[in-house]
Amino acid sequence: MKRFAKITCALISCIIMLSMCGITVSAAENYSQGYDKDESYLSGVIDDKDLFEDDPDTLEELNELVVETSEELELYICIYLNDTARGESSTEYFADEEYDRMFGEDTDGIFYYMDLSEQYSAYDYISTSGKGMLYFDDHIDDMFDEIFPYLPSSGETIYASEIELAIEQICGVISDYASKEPGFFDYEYDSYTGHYIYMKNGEVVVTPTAPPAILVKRGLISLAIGAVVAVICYFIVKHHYKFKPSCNPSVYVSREESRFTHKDDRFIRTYTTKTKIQSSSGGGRSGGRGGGSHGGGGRHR
Amino acid sequence: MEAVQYKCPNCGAYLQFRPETQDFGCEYCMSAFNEAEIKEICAQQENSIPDENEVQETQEFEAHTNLYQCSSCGAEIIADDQQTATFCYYCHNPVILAGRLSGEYKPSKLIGFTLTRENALEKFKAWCGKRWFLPRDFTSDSQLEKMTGLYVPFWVADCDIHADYHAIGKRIRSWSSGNYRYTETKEYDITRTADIFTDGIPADGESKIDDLLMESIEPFDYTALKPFSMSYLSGFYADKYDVDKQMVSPRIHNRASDAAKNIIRNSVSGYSSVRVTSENYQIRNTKWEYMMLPVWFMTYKYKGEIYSFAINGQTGKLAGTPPLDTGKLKLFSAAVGLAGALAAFLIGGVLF
Repeated sequence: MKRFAKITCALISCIIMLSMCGITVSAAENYSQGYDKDESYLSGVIDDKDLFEDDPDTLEELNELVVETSEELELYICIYLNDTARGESSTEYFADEEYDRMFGEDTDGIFYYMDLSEQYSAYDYISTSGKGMLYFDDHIDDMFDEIFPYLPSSGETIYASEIELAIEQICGVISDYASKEPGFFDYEYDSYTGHYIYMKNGEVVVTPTAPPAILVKRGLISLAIGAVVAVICYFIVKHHYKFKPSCNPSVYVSREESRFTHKDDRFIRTYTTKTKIQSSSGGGRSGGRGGGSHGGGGRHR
Repeated sequence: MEAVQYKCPNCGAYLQFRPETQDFGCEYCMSAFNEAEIKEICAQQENSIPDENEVQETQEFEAHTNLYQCSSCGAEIIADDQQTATFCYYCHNPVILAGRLSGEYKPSKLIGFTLTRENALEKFKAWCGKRWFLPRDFTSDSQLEKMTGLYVPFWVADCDIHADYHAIGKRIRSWSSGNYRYTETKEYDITRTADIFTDGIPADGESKIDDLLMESIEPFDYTALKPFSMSYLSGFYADKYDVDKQMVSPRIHNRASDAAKNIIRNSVSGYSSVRVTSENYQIRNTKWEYMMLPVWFMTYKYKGEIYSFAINGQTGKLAGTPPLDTGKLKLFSAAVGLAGALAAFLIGGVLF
């Protein structure tokens, strides 16, 4: 009994110590560049389509709105009005690269790529970085749901007034989703850079080391697995402690005296069925990019 | 009626039956006699074993057996008049002398113990050694002392069974050709009728002992059967049956039918599937015999439950339900679970 108790205590200690070690180690390098208020002017609307060429005042107002939102949320924000048709993957690559070029790698922000190429089908993309990943990555679909009603569908004529309203809506949606602070268990992982992004003491951490949330989560899952193993072990052993009757009455048959008086296997009929053999096939794809850690997602309009 | 005296012809001390050597020994002068010798010697003496006719044997049984009854569980234990039963082999409570037995309880035959108490304890300890979660006192000396050499009353039957079996058997063959898979099924009408005889299916006549426990220590080797003699009781106890022949009859017949069913079904082979259309096993005749068979028996009370163990006193086959110390098992399971948790934690980065 004492030995079992010692083993149990030792193993519990091991798990706790490993979790603690992980948490301590996770406080190491931080690549986050955060958000610099003095550079809030970098945020704004980029009118690559020259939609507001004839109405620079409106564009200026929209820029001010974006900068205000940026300062309020401490996030870099760029709304990019695009005129060139791109494929999905090159759109994603472009958005990530453009974000890094404008605001720097591993800064806190969001980049909305609005496809105004008037090609079928329009593909909008949201690239997020740093704190932006934590705020928006789990809500990309919801954000598109709230923004798309303000945007023209693929192939429709694009009006500046519509886009103006859409940009105001985007700022509102960004504000809404950025108002919910990430919890202890919220983190993002960029499989390309191998960086984890999470909040610690109100600061964004971008690091290759797993966050405490992962270790705690792993610890809890491990304990749940351990509990299942323990229960299975308990019932297996308990089953082995049940009485197992073992007697075959055939041992009492007198082989010498017993005899078959009739033993016949008579063929009755035969029949044949046929079924068509089904075949199937499948496939997959892969890709890559450069720069800092990014999250996000896109959708066709 | 003459009194039975199993006395040593050399020193006059009482003789004891010894399972390991299958003879009668004197603990004082170390003399040894087999059954024929002791009868011959006794026949020449006054107060010797009476003639072996049925009436005398029955009278001898009635005169030299004492019946003890457990006031707690009601078990009835038979002992010869040379020894006194003090505790109940089943519930370990004190027993009281209840009187003598009538001759109807005298068995016609008996198999003597070949397994000594030491052999039985060795087998029991080896069996316990494989089990880690037994209560600590389960193998204590005080517990092992309760291992009792007991002649258990058995009804043994020879059955003559007529079996009639009909079934449809299917042989299935598959192959592929082009884009199609073909399955050919051939059906056969299977008929088996047989006269099957079973020899010596036993059923214990004691309601307190679990039937399955007794079945699990079978079979006994009936070639060692001997006519009942009081001399075999010395050093052992016997149980008085409380389940009669009529009551065990369905059980015996079921077992005989099962045995016949096995023989019939094993004769049907080479089919992918067999669907039985009719099956009938008729017991035509049953021959009964009442005998006592040797069992080393022990019970253990644990958390209000009685755990029974039996060892075939002839073959050494052991059966029983091991008591489980759930406290020990819980700790062990927790340790295994934590080891699993630790392993999951270490490789968890890859898995989740």
